Amino acid sequence: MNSVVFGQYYHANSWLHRLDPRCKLVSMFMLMIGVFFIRRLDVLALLFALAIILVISSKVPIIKYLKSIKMIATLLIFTFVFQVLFNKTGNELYTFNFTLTYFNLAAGILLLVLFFVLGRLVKKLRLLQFLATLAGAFSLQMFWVYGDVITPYSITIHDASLINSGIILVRVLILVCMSSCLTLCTKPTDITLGLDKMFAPLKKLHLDTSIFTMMISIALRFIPTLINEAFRILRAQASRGVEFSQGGLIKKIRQMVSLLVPMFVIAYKKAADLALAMEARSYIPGHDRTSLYLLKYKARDYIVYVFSLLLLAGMIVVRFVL
Amino acid sequence: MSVNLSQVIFSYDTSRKARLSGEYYLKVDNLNIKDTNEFIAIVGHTGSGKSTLTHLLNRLLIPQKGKLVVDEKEVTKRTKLLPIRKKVGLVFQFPEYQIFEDTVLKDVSFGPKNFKLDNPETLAIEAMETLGIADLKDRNPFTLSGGQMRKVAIAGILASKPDILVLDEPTVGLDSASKEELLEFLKYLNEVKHISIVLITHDMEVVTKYCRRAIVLKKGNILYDGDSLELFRDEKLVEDAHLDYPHLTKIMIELKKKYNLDIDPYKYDAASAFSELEKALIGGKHE
Repeated sequence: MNSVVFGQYYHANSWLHRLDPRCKLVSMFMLMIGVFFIRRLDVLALLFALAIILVISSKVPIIKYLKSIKMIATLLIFTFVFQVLFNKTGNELYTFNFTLTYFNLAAGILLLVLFFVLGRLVKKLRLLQFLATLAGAFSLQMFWVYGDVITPYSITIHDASLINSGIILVRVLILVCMSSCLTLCTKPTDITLGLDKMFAPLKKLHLDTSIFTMMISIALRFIPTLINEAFRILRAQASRGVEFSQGGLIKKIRQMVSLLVPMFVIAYKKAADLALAMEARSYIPGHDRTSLYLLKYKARDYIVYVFSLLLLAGMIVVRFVL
Repeated sequence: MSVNLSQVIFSYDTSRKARLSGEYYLKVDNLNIKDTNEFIAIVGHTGSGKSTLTHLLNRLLIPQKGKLVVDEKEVTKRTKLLPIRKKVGLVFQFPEYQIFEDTVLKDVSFGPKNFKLDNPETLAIEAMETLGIADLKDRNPFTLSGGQMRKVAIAGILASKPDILVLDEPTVGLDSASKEELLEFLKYLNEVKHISIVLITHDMEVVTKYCRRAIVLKKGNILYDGDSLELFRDEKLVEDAHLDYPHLTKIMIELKKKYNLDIDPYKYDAASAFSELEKALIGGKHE
């Protein structure tokens, strides 16, 4: 649960931390839109370099960003591999010839079994273990042709498909870096405050966004509390003999019920108490309220706005003109 | 037979940085709790590690260092935890943390079913009868009062027949009658059923009236482990651990100081305090 990076603010003192949340939100949004315009790998590589500069200048440990990349690493690797293997556009680049024999099929299955057995002993780096298993199985089919042949087959890599997969990969990496930059350098409360101020003009259209931003900020504030409560319930049920890591599907569902029902009861009770406490302090939904923390644009915010706008314009030019 | 913690170091922060810094949340050099006839109070300020200590007793938390020995067998990664959880039953401070079924009977029999005990329903009804809540068996536990819910939670643990019953501040939020009733019931379990009771409490009256042994914690360290009545004789310890004296003792200490009485102020019930005062006053020992 601790590996969930989104919404995990890291306290540091960088220029990104000091930026106005509205400026960060708008600039990030513009850059993200811009990234989708670009279909050239060289330009995307430049943008990726920019994202890396942002990451480094945020003074947040790189490991925090790597954790958020790790969350989607499996998806990224599979998308990349499938694109390269099955998208056959462009010129042929290289052809791998494989020969499937009974021996290397058996060896492949053995490697897979080894992967699952190893999983019980070494629980870390499972993705790397899986990739090594796959690489092992395929290299056996390439270099160890022994025994009766079942079927020979080949996989051809095309240059355009390789570039396309590269584009997808770099694009997602840029998006993850930028969004993590936003969430790691901005307190969740500041994000909601920024959203609140940004959407405040909608009040003239009788759309009161302050209620929604209040709901978001309360929800964000309760996430760590409820995670703590969940751990406490886990322990309470474990002391009554529940073993959460064991049992079949039906047993697991039952175990989850023993966790979820008290969770709902506690969350509901806390929500009801909070609502009363807010009402006792004269909170009326939709009424005009002043803010304890006022957001004020500074010179650096305007510079970032201009820079982001120029960058977005540049990206549109690259897409449609060049 | 007993539960023993030795050379235990526990920290909630499992990062490498915390490990290298040597900081810890709780440190126990040696703690032994017998599984019969013990009545122990765990006292200490908020955040001193009382609840954490009890969670280490049945391996709900795994310490970074040290060992847990249950019935002379060391608990390792391979040890099956169910028998340990059955032996040391833990009642959490807020009953809503463990109640989830739609009827009281189902909820109370949840533990015995998990521990694969024979006739879980019979065990549940027995436990409910002991607590005097058998008539609530078909009620929805979430419609009960706070005191009744707490009894259901205790019955849920008791039905699994633990040897050591650990209760985390069981009297919080109860009115004085319910509190008295609950404590008398724990005394009955201890004296008649010979179940060891471990009680986390902030109430010094409870410590002196019911408990025979007290464990005092401060910032994750055990400052005192011994006789619950002798504890208050160590003024420095009481002050150091931010403990309070029982009301009667407080009055006796004040009287001794103010009127220079030659009395032993560490009396914890009205009768012995009265006779001590009487002895001093009628014996003409006061100035």
